Amino acid sequence: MKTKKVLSIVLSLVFAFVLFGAHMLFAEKEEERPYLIGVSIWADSGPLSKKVISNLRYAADVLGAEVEVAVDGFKPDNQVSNIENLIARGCDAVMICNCTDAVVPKFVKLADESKVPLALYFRKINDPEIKAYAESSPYFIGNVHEDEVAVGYSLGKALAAKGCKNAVIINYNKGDTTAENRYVGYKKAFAETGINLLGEQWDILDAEKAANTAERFIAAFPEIDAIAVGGGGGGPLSGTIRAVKNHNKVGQIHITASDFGPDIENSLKNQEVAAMSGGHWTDPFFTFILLYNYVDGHPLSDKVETITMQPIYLTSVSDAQDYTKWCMDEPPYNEEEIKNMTVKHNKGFTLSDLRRIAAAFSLEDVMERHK
Amino acid sequence: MRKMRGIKKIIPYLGLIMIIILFSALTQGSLITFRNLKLIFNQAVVLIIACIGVTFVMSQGSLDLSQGSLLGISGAMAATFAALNTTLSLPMALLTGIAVGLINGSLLAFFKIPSFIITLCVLFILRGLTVIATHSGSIPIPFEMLELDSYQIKVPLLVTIIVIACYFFNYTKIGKSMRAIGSGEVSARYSGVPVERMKILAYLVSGVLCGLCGWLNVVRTGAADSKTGLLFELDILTALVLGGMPLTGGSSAKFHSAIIGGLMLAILSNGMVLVGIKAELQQAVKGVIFLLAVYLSFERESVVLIK
Repeated sequence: MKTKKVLSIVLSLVFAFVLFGAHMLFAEKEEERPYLIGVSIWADSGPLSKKVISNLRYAADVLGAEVEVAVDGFKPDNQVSNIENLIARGCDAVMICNCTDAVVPKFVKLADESKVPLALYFRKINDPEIKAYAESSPYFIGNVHEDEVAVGYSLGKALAAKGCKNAVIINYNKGDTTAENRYVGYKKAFAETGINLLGEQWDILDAEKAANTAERFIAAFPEIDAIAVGGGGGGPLSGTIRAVKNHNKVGQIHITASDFGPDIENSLKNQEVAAMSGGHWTDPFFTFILLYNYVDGHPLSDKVETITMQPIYLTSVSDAQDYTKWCMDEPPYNEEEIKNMTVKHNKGFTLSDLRRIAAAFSLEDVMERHK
Repeated sequence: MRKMRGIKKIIPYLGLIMIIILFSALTQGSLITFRNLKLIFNQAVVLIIACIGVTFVMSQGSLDLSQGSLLGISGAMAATFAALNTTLSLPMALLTGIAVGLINGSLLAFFKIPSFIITLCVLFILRGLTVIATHSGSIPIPFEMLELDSYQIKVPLLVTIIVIACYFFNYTKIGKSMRAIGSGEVSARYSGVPVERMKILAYLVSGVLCGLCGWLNVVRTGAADSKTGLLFELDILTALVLGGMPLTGGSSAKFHSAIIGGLMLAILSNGMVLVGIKAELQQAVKGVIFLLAVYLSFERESVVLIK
C-alpha cells in the first residue's frame, strides 16, 4: 500500500515536471514562417477531394504559403475539432466545407475567439438566421459556392433530353445545403419535363453504398431509366455506374452526376454517364485566394463576401478529353495567373477582379487562356 | 509475475508522459501552451466522461457498444427540446441516457444475452432513431446555448464526476460488487452480490453519463446531426485500452484507465495535427499505437469470453 502511494506521488511529480518542464525546454522561438492556411475537408481520398488538396497545395507553393489539411468525414464534431486543432496548429486562416448550416455558428464563434479569419468553400448558407449570425462576425470573411439549383436543373434537363421518364435520386447528406439545392434543381427540371421521381435515397457518400442503393432501386423499379447522383465527391458516381453495368442496363438507364468520377472519358464514351458537372475544385482555390489576401494584409473587402461560380458541364467525349488536357494535366491557373490574383504581386487586384475570374471559369475559359 | 504486473500498471502513465514529451519536442512546445492544453481538455471531456461510464460496465466483464448511437440520440433529443425551451435540453438528454441504460441492463440481466450482442443491436436501433429524429440532417440549437460550452461549466463538472465515480468504484460496496461479478459471476452470486441489480446499475451509470456527453457534444458543436457519435464506441474502447484497461474487462479494470486513456487519445489526435502529420497517416499512427497498447495490456492468463 505504502509503495503504491509513493509510486503515485512520484508519477504525479514526473507528470507535473513533464508538463511544465517540457514547455520551458521546447518553447517555440519566434521566427519568420510562411502563411499557413488550414483546410478541413471531408476526405483525402476520392477524385474531388484529392484534386482540391493538390490544387490548394500547388497554389500555396506558388505563393510561398503552406496548407494544413485535416479530414473531418463530414461529421459535425470532427469539423469543430478540426477548426480548433488547425487554429491551435498556428494557422493564419482556416477554411472548411461545412457539413450543415447548423455548425456554422460554432465555427464563427471559434474564429472570433481566436481572431483567426474563417471562410467556407463549396457552401452557401441557406438559413437566414445563421447567415445573419455569421455575417455579424469580424472574422468570417465569406464563402464561395456554385449555383447548385442551376446544377441540378441543368442535369435534370439533360436526362429529359435523353428521353428519360422515370428517375431516382441518390444524394448525400440531408441538411447539407449543396445536396439540398441540387435536389431542388432536379425536382424543378423533373416537374417541368414530366419525369416521374420514383424514389430518393440520402446519406450516400461512398461508392459501396451508392452501388447497393442503385441495385435496390433497379430491383424495385424495373421501369427506371434515369439515376441522378447528387454528388459526394465522385465515389457515389463510380458505385452507381458499377451497379448499372452489373445489371447490363448501360444505355437503358442514364446517369447524371455532380462531381466527376475517376474515369470521365470512358464513362462518356461507353455511355455510362449522360452528363456530368464538376471541375469545381477551383472553388476552394478562390476561397484560398480570399484568405491569402486577407492574411497578407490586403483584404479584398471589409465586408463578408460571397463569390459564385459555375461548374464545368461535360456531355461528350471530346469535352472530356479537353477537360483532362487543359484542367487535369495542367493547372487551370498558372503561376503568373495565381500571383496576379494577390495584391502582393498585383497592386491593382480587387474583389471585382476575383469575382470576374471565378464567374468566367469554364472549359472554354481555361482553353482560351492557355492555348 | 507480480513484478511484471507492477510494470504493466505504470505503462499507461509512462505512455502518457512519453506522448507529452514526444509531441512537446516535435511541436516546439506548442502542445503544452495554456491555450492548447485548454483545447485538449475540451476535446477530452466528453471522451473521459463516457469512458468512466463504460469502466463500470467493463469491470463486470461486459461491453457497451451502444455508446456512439446513444450519444447521437441523446444529442438529438437535447437539440429538439432546446428549440422548445433551452432548460429542457439537459434533462431530456439525461432521461434518454437513463432509458437506454435501463433497457441495456435489463436485457443483459434478465434475458442472459451476451452484452456485445445486446448493445450492438441497440446501437443499430438508436442510430435509426437518431436519423429519424434529425430528419437525416441536423438540428441547430439556439445560439445562446453555445455559451454553455465553457470551461467554467466543464471543469467542475468533470472533477465532480471523477470524484464521485472514483469513490463509488473503488471504495463502496457497489464498486466492489461490480468487480466481483467481473472476476466470476457465480462466485459473486454465492457471496451475496445482487448480480442482476448490479448489471442494471452499471448500464444505468454508463447510459446517464453518455446522455450527459450527448448534451455536452451538442453544446460544443452547436447542432445534433444524424452522424453524431458514429464510431464513438471505438474511440471509447481505444481510450480505455490506451489507459491500461484489458479489452476483456473484468475485475482488473482500473478507474484511472478512463482518465489516462481519454487524455492520451486527445493529446495524440491534437499532437498529430500540431506536428503536421498528414491526415492520410494519422489513422495509421493511431492504429499502430492501439495495437501496441492492446499487446501491452493483454492479460493472456485471464482471457475470458466477454459476457
